[in-house]
Amino acid sequence: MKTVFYDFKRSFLRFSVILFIVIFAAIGIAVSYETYATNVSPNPYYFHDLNVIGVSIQKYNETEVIGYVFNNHGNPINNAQIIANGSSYRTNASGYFELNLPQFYFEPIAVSYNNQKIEFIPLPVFENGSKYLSAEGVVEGFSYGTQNNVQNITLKYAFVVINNNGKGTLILAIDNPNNQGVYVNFANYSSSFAIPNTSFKYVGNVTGYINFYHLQTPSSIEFLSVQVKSLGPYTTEYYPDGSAITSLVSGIIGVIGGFTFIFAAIMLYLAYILFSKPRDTGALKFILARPITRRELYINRYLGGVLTAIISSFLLTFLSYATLSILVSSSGILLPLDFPLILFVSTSAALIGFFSLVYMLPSFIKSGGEMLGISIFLFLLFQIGPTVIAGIIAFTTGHINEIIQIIYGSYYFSPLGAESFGIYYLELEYGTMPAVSSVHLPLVILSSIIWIAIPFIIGLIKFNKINI
Amino acid sequence: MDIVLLRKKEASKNVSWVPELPIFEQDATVLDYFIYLAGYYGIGKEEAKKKAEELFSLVGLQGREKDKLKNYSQGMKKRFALAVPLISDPNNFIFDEVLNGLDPQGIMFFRDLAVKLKKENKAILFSSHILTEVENIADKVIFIHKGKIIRQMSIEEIKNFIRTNIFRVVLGRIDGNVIKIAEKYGNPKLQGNIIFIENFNGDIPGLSSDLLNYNIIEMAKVEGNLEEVFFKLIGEQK
Repeated sequence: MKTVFYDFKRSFLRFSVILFIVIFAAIGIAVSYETYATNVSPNPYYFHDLNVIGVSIQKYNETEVIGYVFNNHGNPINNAQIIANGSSYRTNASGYFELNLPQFYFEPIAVSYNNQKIEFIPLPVFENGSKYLSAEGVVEGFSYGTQNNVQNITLKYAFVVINNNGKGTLILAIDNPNNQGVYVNFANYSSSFAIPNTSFKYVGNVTGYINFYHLQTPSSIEFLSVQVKSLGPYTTEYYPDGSAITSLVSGIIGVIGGFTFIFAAIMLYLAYILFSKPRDTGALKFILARPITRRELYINRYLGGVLTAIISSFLLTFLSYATLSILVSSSGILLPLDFPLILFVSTSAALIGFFSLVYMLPSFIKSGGEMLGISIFLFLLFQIGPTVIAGIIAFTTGHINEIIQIIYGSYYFSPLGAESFGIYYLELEYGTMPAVSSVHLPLVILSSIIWIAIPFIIGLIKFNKINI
Repeated sequence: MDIVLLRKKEASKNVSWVPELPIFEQDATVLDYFIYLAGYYGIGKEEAKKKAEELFSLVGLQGREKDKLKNYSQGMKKRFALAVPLISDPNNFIFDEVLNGLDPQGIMFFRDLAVKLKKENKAILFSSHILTEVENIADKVIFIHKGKIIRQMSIEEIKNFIRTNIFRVVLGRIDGNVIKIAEKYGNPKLQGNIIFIENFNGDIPGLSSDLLNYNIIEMAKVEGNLEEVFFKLIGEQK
């Protein structure tokens, strides 16, 4: 129906709407860029698609450097250029290189491939690479006890973990390969460091300077402990998509959160312009004298507002996504598409839910001023109410330690809750948010649908009966 | 009523309603709003633009299409309100107190339009407090008092209803004898320098020669009007 698009056009092509979209799109792009720049400027290789790991062995009269160059998926990069001590070398077809350098050579060595460049210093073990690697670490320790009749030998290793949708690879460079057993353990992020030794999984033995092991890698942020017997375990953070994605995603979430907060007020204003004001002034009477039923008019104008919410959310989330994608395109890793999708769906659902609620009001209240007053009250109530009420409930019932559960439970009772749930799921997937027991996806979907549908239907039924 | 509700869309196409105070969404431009409303008649943008050109010139709004509705005068708003339903070329028109608040040119436009539409066999429901205008336009008059229809009459019936037999003479000079003279011709009443003679016997030459010394300024038969009929009907006529 053409008139729907007219109502959409009249709601969308409004100075306030366009202004807010432009401002937030600019903020979205700026934050994407800022997030990128603060991470990248000091360490450009953080977002590259180039990584290196290896060992340097001090021999009589020379240093032998053995390294492996690989991309963010863990695949070898052949023909990468290595420049050390004024000479140029190339990796072989398997991504390996071997350099013979003067003894005690500790100058930076450059690895270049495809206009990207990283450096490393040929310490006994080394690794350097992008922030897309799920975990990394350099361990220099003493092995206590007896191994091959040699006591207290030093053992140094560097490792990286690459996650390819649950099928992980542990690459381990070790300066003293001696058939040691390699064990790993993943532990819940919120649990303590105390990891029982029994939960470590054996992944293989050390067979050379550079070793590869298959791992089952989790899809959430966890603690990873790597243990090369008989050293104690080394624990670090494990990011399924690398810490790069986590920092980028949390930057964008902040912007979108602010957008939803302010844009809910724009939805309130649109409900006023599209429905409340024309009803109050009497302009609806003339429109209703056209060949149109009340139901059609109600739905038409409602869809005008809904389309505005959808397109605004879409523009903002995908614009931020596109900006970031372009900025990090050199890394060879695609930003996960569910990131803008979840943000888009949850932002739209929140805005439409709130719009449904305030759009219902003019069916009951003729005065535009009163409608605006009540809408502003509802806006404030649902923006800050759930957290405050949850806090009071938690405090008065003595369930302070369950406050997070209670806060998330309260979001079911807010039309704007969908946004909080969307951010929750993103934080759960890409951030450090622990799972909250009161969040259940079916309930999240149900509450969003109810908040959108019920006020819409009540408003429609009432509008059909009132004296315009 | 139920049928009207059921077939509301169809009914709306057959009626043109021009309200006393047309209210639109003020921030829209006239042409834009016309195109929007045309959408409800199932007409696309391009066709609506053509229709707008044709209908705006018909109602005298040509050249003002780009204005915002809030900049329109009452008369222009009424012309716009008239132009919109003309999209579906309706056979029925409701002019609700349409003459209120109009300048003389606007009054003439709507009066002439009503007469023209009447000639084209269109039905016009024309409500007005300006009864002289109603007399000029209507074939049939419905008197409404306090929200109720108190009488429905054709113009012929009204003419018969208001036919009086009162003669009115305006004199330049009055004295005590003048009533006595007038009594020969009916039942006179004196109001200032005017004599109203009820049941006038029709002898105008006699009356005028008898009153020659009183400087006759004006004399004529009193004609009734709609207003009188209305007051008669509601029992408040003096």
